[in-house]
Amino acid sequence: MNIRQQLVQLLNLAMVLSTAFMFWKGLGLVTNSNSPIVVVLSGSMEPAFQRGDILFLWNRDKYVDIGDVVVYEVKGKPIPIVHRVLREHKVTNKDRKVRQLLLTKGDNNPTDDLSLYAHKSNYLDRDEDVLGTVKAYLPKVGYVTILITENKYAKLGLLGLMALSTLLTRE
Amino acid sequence: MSGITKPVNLYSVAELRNATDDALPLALSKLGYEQSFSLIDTKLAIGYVATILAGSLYYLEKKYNNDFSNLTYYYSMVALVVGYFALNGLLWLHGKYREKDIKYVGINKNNQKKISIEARVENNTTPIYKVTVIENNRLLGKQDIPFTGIFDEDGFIHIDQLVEIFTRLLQEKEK
Repeated sequence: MNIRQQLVQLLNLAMVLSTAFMFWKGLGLVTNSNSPIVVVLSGSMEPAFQRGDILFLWNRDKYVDIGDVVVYEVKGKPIPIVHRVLREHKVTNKDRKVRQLLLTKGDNNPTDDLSLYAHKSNYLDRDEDVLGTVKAYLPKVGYVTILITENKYAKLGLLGLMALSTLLTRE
Repeated sequence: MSGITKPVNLYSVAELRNATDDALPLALSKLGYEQSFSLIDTKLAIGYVATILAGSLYYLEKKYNNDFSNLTYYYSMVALVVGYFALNGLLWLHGKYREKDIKYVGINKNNQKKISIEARVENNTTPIYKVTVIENNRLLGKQDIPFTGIFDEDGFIHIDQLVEIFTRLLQEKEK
């Protein structure tokens, strides 16, 4: 085997990984969301969404509506949360910029999300905290990623399989 | 030099084709040709530049914590994503219109003439190697080579037979 053939094989592997990554980033740019696809990790939105559902987000609407299901991330807590918008306020700043402030709640939770928000904050900021509104979903498919993130052997096994298959096939 | 020392599975057309593709440089070097790598090098260069773009975006994502409100990050992301897919498009065009089925490009050491060899198989159930030889953009000859003619029963390729076939193919034009 010569060096160019090996470089081609390595390139094929690199292309598989980089194309997946760049599609993800491209989708992020189109939807204007830095995490355009998320997997539901908790049961707090049952029966609307179950653990393992995949959600597709869209973040180009200027304001979100009451009743929309949004995904938000609280500063300092790296896990995105999927909950429904319960109330909203539009506040005009001194620089005449309108901010939309939100209160959210999980359909399956007994109380609203005040206790989940950042320290001393009693609202979410539409522009700063919300990753996007849920526009579509695929039920259960995301369970694979839950398995991978919560079980390190599943993760290693899958990575190994992917690497092997791209290195061994030459079609 | 895989495919020459290693037997292939005679029931797999893909393996037969790969082994024959791999044997072309050796066969043609025996006929006085020196292989030219410009096509594959172009492909490698475009591909690896694209990969570097993706890699640097990965680095930026970590550096800026994937914060879309940071405009430096946002616009470099736009540039890198657009650049990446442009290069991929280029790679696709290169494969479709320049590389096509070309498996070997070589230059004759004596008369400096450049030949390209296109080779393909019709499908995965027809064990016939369809070869087209082009010399300086002029069609030199076509031949369908059944794999039974160049592989023996044990799955070893016979370079001499391949050399013989190409000697005939390359001589035809000189008449």
